[in-house]
Amino acid sequence: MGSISILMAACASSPPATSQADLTLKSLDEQPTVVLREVASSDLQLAQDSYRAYAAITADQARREYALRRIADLQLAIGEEALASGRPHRQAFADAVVAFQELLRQYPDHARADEVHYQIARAWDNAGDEARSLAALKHVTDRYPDSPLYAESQFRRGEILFARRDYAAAQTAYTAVLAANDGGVFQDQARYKRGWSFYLRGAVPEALADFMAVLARSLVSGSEFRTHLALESLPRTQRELVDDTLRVISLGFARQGGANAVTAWFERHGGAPFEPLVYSRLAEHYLAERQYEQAADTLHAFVARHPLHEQAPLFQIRVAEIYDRAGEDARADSARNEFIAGYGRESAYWEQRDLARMPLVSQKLRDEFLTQAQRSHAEAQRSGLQADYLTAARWYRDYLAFFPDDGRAPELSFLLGELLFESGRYAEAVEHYEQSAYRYSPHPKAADAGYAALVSYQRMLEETAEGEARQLLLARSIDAAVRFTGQFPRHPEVSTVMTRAAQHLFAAGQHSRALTMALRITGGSSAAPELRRTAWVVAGDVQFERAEYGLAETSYTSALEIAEDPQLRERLAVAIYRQGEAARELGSRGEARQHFLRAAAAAPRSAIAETAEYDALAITLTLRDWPAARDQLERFRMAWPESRLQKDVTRELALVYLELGEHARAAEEFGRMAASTDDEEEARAALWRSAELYDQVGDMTRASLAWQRYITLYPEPVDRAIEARLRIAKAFQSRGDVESRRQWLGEVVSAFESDGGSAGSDFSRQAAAQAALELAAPARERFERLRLVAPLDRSLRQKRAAMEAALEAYGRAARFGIPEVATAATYHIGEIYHGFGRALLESERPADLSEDELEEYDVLLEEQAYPFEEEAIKLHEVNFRRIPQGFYDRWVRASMEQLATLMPVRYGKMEKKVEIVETLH
Amino acid sequence: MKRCIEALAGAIGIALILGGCAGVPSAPPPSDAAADRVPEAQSPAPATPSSAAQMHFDAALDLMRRGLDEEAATAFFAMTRAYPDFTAPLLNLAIIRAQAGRTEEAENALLQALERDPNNVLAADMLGVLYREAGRFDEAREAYEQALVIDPSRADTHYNLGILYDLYLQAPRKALAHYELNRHYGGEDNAVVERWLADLRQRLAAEHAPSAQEGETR
Repeated sequence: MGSISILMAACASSPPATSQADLTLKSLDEQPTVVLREVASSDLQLAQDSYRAYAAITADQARREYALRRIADLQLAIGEEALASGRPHRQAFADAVVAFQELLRQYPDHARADEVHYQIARAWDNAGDEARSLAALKHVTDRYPDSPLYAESQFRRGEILFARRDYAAAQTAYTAVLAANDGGVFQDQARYKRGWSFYLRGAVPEALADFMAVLARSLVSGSEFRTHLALESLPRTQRELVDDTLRVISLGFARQGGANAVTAWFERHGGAPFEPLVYSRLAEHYLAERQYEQAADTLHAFVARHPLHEQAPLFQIRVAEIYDRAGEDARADSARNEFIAGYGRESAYWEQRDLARMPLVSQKLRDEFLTQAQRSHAEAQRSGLQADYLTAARWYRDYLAFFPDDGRAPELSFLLGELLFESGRYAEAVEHYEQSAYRYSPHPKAADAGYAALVSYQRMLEETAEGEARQLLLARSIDAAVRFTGQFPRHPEVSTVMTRAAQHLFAAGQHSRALTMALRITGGSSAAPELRRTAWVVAGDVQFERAEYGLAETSYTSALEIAEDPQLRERLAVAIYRQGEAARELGSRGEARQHFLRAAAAAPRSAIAETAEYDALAITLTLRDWPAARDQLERFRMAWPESRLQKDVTRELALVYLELGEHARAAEEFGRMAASTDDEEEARAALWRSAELYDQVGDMTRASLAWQRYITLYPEPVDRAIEARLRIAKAFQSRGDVESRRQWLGEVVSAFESDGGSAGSDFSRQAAAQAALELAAPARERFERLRLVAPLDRSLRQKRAAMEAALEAYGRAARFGIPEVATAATYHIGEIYHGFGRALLESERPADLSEDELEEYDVLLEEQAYPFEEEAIKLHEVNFRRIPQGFYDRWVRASMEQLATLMPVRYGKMEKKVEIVETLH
Repeated sequence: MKRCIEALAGAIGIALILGGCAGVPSAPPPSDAAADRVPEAQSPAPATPSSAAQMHFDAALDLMRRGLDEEAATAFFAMTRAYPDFTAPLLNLAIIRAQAGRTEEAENALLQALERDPNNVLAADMLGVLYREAGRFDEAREAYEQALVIDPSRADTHYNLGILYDLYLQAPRKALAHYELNRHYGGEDNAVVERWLADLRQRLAAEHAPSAQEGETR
């Protein structure tokens, strides 16, 4: 009833305004001051009193009639003022009715009697007397059908009747309003209220007709339909009207049988732009009642009626959502399938539409495709079937084709990659991983996608047999890794990837790239130690291959500082060794040696250490740094007992000891060399040298042993073997071992003679001769020691035998044909004869001889001795005759001395020599 | 050394000083210096160089007679520098060296003497003996022959050359000739040489041609 009162108030304000205007026009010349004072005054009572006073005095009937009308209108205003301010007002309105009735009594032909009755209805209404008010209005509509207040009066009647639940009467009153030509402002309200009147009377179709008309008037302006969104922008009252109307329409259709009724209605009355509102509001009504199926049917009915309507997809997916709420999974799926089938990329719906301009639909489609993709992905994971994987992949691919610029496209590319990876389709997985990683602007999954691509490559490589194809694949995987490291430097695995890439690049021969990659790892601090170590190794390997051995050394050292590794350590040693080689080539021997020693120290137990240490000492040798060479050689021997270079060490050590004057040790080394070398000439020379050096330092035992070994090993050539025997003999002589010396001299002689003298040179012959000569001495000494004593025959026989032995010995020496030996032998033979003669003369005389006999005996002895003396002379003269041949050695001189004694006249001649010159001249 | 030089001022002390200097094995006197200073040291004295040389020589002879061979040799050697005109010091030096078996030094001394005095017959003869003792018989022959060029009548040289031909070159006829020349120029030991001659003639008679031929080849 509130709305009706407002309308009444609005109407009530209108007539006085009209009256004032009239008043103004009519009384402008006569009563301008009064009118102005009335308007300006708020004191209605004062105004009324003025009109009352005026009415009492004026004689003009028209003016008096006007004044009485003003008094009645002001009385109504006084009542309304009291009503508005909550003061007692009933009497005021009753006074107003009285005033209006008094006017009509005095002036029954009042021109605006319709207005006066309308004012009376108003006063009764304000006074709470609905019946009298209704009667007053009926009076207006019955008596004044052409009154400007007719439609309003009918409307007011309808409102009062509707409020009194007299819907039939109200309906009639509303119909009168609608029928009036100037229904004007009351038209919409009257149609709405008539709809309700029908509705409340059970005439639903009639009611719906009025409501639909209300909607059409509210929402359609010409051909333009206000969209759902625009509904929000309607003025509040109109919006409430539309909203109420839609609600009651829904109620009405629900009572009529729901969606089918809606469709039937539109089919019968023609379609309307607001159909979606009607269907959706009905669906909402069902939802509020938890009548899910009816709600879904309603929405679906719209889709069936307008499949290509802009909002059809939204209705369709709403169907699915409602079934979701209802727990009707099968129906929800079915609805979704319809949605996807009806509004996919290839559907007619999109023929004239742009996805970008349809954000809601687009969003729903995305959600559904994504849901499908994820669901089928999960299914594939569960079943493990290739077919399921293919299905899931198709969902992702469709999605990406449909929404290439979608915000989730990068992630979905990645997921598609994951899916393909899981199904073992690594090549395709790579494609999508890389798409995800590199095609889109940065997104959270990009780095993971990039990494997953690398893992996929790894799998492919594992499955690919060696060959050209694998090489190509490897190259691609390396490029991918490089790209990854460039794009995602902060990925947790980036160091691992970089390290592996560096390794692969190196293996593929791309050294420059490998080095760059490795140095990126080593240059940073984020990589795990093990990775940095590997990177250092790669860097070192590249530098090594480039012959940048100093740099390689640094790299390897860095790697080793992180973790020890014997093989790497050896490689480090090689890198250092190569620096040594380079320095050596440039002639920097000292530097080269430093490098070699460093190389050996770097990997002390390695094979290269052996070589390096040896090369270092080779330089030391060329530098003639003997003490250092000795130390190094000895160390090398201790460190590398199994080295094949040991022979060289022995050789060099021997020479170094010689240089240092450590002859005993040199001798030992030469002996060792002789035993170890494969070169016979060298062995022979070394053994000899060993013996000589032992000899030199006075170690005769070792010298002898060495020479004996020499003789055993090298009987040829005879000269050398004989010399060895001589040296042994000499050694024994120096030790005073006469017996051994003689034994070895005998060896000299027999060695020469056994050979028949053919292989021996002059030296051997000379040596044999000298030996034979010396060996003759004992026989001679034995001969000399024997004295001729009684009984003479026995001692004579012994001495004779000794003489023959001595002669034989000297004869043997002389036969070698060596002049010096021959002269000696000749002298001794001469002296043996001489000695024998003398021995005879000095022999012990028989004790029992008389003087004469003794004299005779002496003569006899002299006769016996004489030939020996003669023989002695002959032999010394042999030596004497050698003088003109150039022989004048000590034995010739000795023979001369003997001859001088034996034949003084012939040989005892000495020059005249000056002993001292005493004159100074 | 300084001490030695100062002492040279006194003429009497020369022999002792020389001996003293020579007796210091660790610091053998540089004979050059010593010799150079001698005339200067002598110059204030009125003595003649020759008398100084004689005194010097006498002192050395004294050492030699006393068997102080090394000191004597040093003194004679110093004289060879101080008084290069004299050969006698060289000869005595050669005698000392030859007796010690130092043949080469002896030879050098004698050759030097002959260089200084090519007519020094004694030096040539001594050289012959030295060579013979060394077994250098041809050189010995040449030395003797040089001596005989200087003095063909030198009996001792004929004696020595005879022995060389007799025993070492074993050319008995030439030996015979020189033994005879020795006799001719009145050599000593007549009786001995006579026996040698007799022995030689006897052998030559017995051996005939071989000896003659041999002698002729020499």
